[in-house]
Amino acid sequence: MKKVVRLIGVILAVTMMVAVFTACGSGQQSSDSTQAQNTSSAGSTNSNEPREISFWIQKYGSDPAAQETLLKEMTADFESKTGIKVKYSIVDWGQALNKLTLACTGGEAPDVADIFFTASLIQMGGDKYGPMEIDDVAKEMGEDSWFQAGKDEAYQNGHWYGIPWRFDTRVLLYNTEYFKEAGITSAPKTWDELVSVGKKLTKTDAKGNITRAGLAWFNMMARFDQTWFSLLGGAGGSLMDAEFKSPTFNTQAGIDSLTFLRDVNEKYKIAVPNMVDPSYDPVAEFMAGKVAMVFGVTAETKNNIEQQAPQLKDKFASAVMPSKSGEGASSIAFSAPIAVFKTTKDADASKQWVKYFCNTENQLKASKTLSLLNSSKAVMSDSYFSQDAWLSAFVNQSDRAVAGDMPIAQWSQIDAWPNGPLPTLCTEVIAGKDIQQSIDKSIKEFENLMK
Amino acid sequence: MSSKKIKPALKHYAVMAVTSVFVLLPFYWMVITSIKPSNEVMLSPPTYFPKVLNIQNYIDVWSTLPLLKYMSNSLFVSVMTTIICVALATLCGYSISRFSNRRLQKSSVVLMLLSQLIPGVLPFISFYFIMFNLNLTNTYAGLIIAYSMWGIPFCTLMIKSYFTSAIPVSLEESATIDGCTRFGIFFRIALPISLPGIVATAIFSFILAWNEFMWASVILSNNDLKPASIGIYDYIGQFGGNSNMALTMTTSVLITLPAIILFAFLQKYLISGLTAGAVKG
Repeated sequence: MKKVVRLIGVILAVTMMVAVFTACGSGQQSSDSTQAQNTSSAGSTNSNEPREISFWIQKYGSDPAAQETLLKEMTADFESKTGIKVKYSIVDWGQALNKLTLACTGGEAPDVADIFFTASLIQMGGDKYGPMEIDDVAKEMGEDSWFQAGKDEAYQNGHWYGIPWRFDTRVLLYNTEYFKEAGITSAPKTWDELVSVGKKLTKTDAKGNITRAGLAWFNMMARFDQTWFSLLGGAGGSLMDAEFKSPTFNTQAGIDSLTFLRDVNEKYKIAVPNMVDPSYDPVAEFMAGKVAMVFGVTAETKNNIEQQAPQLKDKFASAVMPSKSGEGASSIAFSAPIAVFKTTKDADASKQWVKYFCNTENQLKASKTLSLLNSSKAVMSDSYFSQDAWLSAFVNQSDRAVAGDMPIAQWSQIDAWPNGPLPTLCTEVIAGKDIQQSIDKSIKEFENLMK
Repeated sequence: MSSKKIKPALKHYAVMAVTSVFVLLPFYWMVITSIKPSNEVMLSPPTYFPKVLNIQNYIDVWSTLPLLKYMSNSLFVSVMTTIICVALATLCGYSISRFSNRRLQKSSVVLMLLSQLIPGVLPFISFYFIMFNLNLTNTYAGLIIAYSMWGIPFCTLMIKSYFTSAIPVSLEESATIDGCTRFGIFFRIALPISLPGIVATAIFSFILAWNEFMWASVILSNNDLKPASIGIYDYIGQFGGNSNMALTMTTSVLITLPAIILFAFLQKYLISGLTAGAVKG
């Protein structure tokens, strides 16, 4: 009897486990086909089998449904034209770097992906993993089709490792009602003007506490490195030399930019002290009417404001960011490529998708739907960008922007948040530490990582 | 009621009221933001009671996200995890509670306690590659196995303490004298009596799987398999910003509902299940 009961127990347990994982089979079947990719060689396909590739793209725009619809339309159209099915996945930004890192170190990898930190991913991947060279695709599309920032990111060591698509630069956001109220007729062009306008716009209570800040640096989680990159460019400095071999911010421009980063609050009192609080959200404060200008917002900010603070519609505008002298660079620019991974089982299909996704027509459509700027000169010359009051500032700013990411393999460590040498430098300066000492420390760590 | 009785009661209720406000405020904020008109969402100072009730978000949310799919994924994974955890933890917990002098059982308890001391993220990368090499990434099975692995030790310890405290050994001895086998005792006596403990364990494993974020966000890249805890991240944009706070809060309310309903119906079991064995009688 005992044995029979035991046997029944074991059978029940096994049946249950089998039932569970049979049910899970549907998930496995519908999942990406990338599991078996690592063992198959790139480019080898059987012509009798239906062709399917996987595509990872990060989340863009303010409406999740809009990106979903766009990708559905694009992949359906591509399939009808080529017979190749593209299974897309929208990867959230919180996990994007983790997933790309795993993809470049032997983990699950897509056939095609929207990547960043290209140089780092190439080095991580070595000969086996990571983005593959797609010089043929770049040549076919025209190697001069993209802005320099786009080329800097995608073109490494004499080869194209992706096709540049999205582009990002930062501008000054300001409340036009507050400008009118203070009698200000144009956006500031120099740092001095920024301070003077900021003082006019700042309001305080009887105790001297700021009730409306004239200015806020655009930052998330009290991360000021990208704001500083813009200021450094605006002071005529640069993060690295032209060959991207060594850091070059231990200069007067470096000191001036870091001093200005700190002084808007410490000296000029046009920003609130709690701007350094990780929970401080400058755009949310702008929407709440507590900030008059935000330095360094993205193109997406307009949708963000219109959705969450419709009362501000037509009461805000964008402008080219001020630099120290009023001329030269005053912002940063980023570009991201679409890359084919070395582990793809169908390189030809992957390249076809890259060409399709990155063509001018589709990129314009993507820019409009996802509120993105573009690395393609042809796309950015469209009237959609030049005639729109909000976007035209971004077009003008593009000509006055320096690279926000350095095209070096160590960049993901150097600019790692929160402990990379550059974010740490900014945090220390904002916290009141000696600027020269902080620069020296940062340079040392930077150089160590470069070795 | 005399003043001697009223004063302690007042203190008692005052402490309860303060604690309740502290605990419930975030939930209140979540609900209130989900029904605010969009021009009130980002106002400063904020409005504590919306001027107009706006239920449009509860209509829009279904077209913005495939929420039904996300929630059904969550439900499937959570129910499966619960079944596995409860099935294995009850067997294991009973064995440990009744044969605590055997080496295997003793070492099992130590190992399970040890597993609770190791931070969850520590074996993350190696675990990822194990799952990847077993073709378990991007599958429901990968999620269920991982959640079960993390849930079973705690569930076992939880149910073990219930078996130890709530079922007298003498009861089982009587059953043995009457000719009942060990399995008979387990299925006919221990399990029915332990229902509160089992329900508490089930609730714990269900909530663990329902709320889990980290592992699901790493292991899954297929949108069709996303659970609700990951799906809500669709509102977070490129720079970590959330451009639709009202819809995010609406989704949060809807995702929280199943857990609240579960608690509402089963909380009496949860409390008795958790407190069993807390005091030696």
